[in-house]
Amino acid sequence: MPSPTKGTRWWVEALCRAVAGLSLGIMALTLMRGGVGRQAPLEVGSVTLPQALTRATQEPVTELRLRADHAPTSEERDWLRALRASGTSVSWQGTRPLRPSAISMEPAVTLGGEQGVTLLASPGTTVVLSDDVGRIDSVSVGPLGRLTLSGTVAGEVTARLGTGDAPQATAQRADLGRVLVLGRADWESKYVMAALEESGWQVDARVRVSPEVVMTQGTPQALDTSRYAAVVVLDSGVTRTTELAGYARSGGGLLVAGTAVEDPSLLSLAGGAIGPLQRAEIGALVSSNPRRGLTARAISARDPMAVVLEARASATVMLGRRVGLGRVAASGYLETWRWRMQGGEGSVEAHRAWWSNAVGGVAHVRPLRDGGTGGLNGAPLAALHAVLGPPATTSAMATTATQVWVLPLTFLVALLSLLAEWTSRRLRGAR
Amino acid sequence: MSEFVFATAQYESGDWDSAPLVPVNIVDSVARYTSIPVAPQGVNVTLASDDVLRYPLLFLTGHLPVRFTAAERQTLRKYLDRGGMLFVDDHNHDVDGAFHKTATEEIQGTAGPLVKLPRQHALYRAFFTFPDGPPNTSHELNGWGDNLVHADLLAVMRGDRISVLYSNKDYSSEWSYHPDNKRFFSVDNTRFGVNIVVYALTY
Repeated sequence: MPSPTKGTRWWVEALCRAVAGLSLGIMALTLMRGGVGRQAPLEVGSVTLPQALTRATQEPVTELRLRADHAPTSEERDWLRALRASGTSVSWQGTRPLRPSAISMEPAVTLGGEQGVTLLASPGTTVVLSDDVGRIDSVSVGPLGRLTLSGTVAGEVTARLGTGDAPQATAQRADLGRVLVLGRADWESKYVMAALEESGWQVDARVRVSPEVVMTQGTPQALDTSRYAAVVVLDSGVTRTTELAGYARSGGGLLVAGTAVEDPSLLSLAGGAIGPLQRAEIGALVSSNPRRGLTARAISARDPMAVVLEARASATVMLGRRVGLGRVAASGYLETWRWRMQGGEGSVEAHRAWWSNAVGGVAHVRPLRDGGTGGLNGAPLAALHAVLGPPATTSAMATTATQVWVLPLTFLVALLSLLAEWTSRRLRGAR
Repeated sequence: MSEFVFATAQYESGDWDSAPLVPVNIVDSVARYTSIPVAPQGVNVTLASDDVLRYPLLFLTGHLPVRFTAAERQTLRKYLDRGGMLFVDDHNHDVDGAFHKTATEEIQGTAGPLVKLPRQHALYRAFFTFPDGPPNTSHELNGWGDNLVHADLLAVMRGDRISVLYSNKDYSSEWSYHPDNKRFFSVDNTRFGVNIVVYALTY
């Protein structure tokens, strides 16, 4: 029997069948991707985020999308992280370019052995300081991005960039331990100890006078950060290198100076190696740069992570680096006592301040109070990246939204296509 | 590395160089008993000159009256303010003699009041131990037949630290001999000089 002529209606019915099949295929694919029962994502902005977090916790949400005009607070960030860990898909996107900013603050020892804070932020930034009583002042961070402040504060110091949810950091008053000086009976040990004591440091000392005789001051004990904030090694005869390294790794501060910098093993603790001798500039002790009047041992950095703290001409004379939890620095200046004794007006105070700063720069500082950081949010955008990853792309956000409508839409299309095909066949009398 | 240099103060008014053998004798003892690097020769430094600032321990002695010039007073004041230590010894063995009267007057006018140094002071155990305080000299005990013993040293204190140490026990005579002659002594009588040097270097 010859086949009937394929007219327009046949092609329409075929098209309907094809559309229905395609829709069913898309439905199957969507089902395989887990689109069944998908809720609409909860879209929130920075202002409505707190309420949304509460809702997402009380009524579990499949997906939460944050459109932020500023980085969330630390509490909000932690909450988002918890939601993600409990199965909610969390993504974010800025409604505008979010400018990275950060602030850090830590207890510090300032001039004269006073306790203060060191503030790190972008150069030129204005920082608002407050303590437990209220606002203290606003200060501008200099070109190095660092500012050291000292003074009388009540409780914790908080530094904030701007207002509202701007980055902020807190620092607590510090508890300074003692300083241990390991030296030999010479003018350098004597005047270093004098400078530190005059600055307010409490000094223990072990000073070698002869092979059998060691002069002690205070009650020198084992190297431990619970007692000593820093150890100053001035004697190349000190053989406790392993012990000193262990002390630094556990958080202690170590300053290698005087003749100790001429011992390679001691100098290596600071990441340096012995360089050539830098001659003193005659007459410079009474000048505006008196340390040029000191003989100095240049130090070459062996550790790429070591930081040059002071240089003279093209030579490094002071070097420092982090070792474990602690800090180690080396000063190549020899006979700094000459600066104190033979320097110009104010040399005693300047020598004292330099040594106090040198020790303070490595000193282990213990916060007086344990506990949380109380709202620390020093680098909120960076922290958001760390918690939630980079912002989602616009297409990813759109695709997600689209997926919600795929199943019902394809079902409807398939249904209508099949209905149209059946109706057409029935109307022309086919089965 | 800086070595210890024994410096003797040269002042205008008296016989500052009355004990030229003291420096070499003390240097010998410091080198003999300690591991402190010492310059083999002492130096003489003008009290009115800022050169004194190069020597944080200064020795001053004499027989004759002491009258500092204005420049000497100013330099000495600056020297002591910066942490230097002056050891003054009366080269006479007398009481209220010319050197003693004038030197103590100058010291108190320049540096501050002289007080008796307690016998428990760290100076007396800085290296050797002297439980009875400053050792007596042979001149005190029988040298002049007067048995005048000056029991204690005097000092100008800055906090706990000795700024000026004053002796009228005549250590200048006691230590004025060539170090080679130490072998004739049963007890080295320069040991207290070692204590003074070690104290100056460590306190």
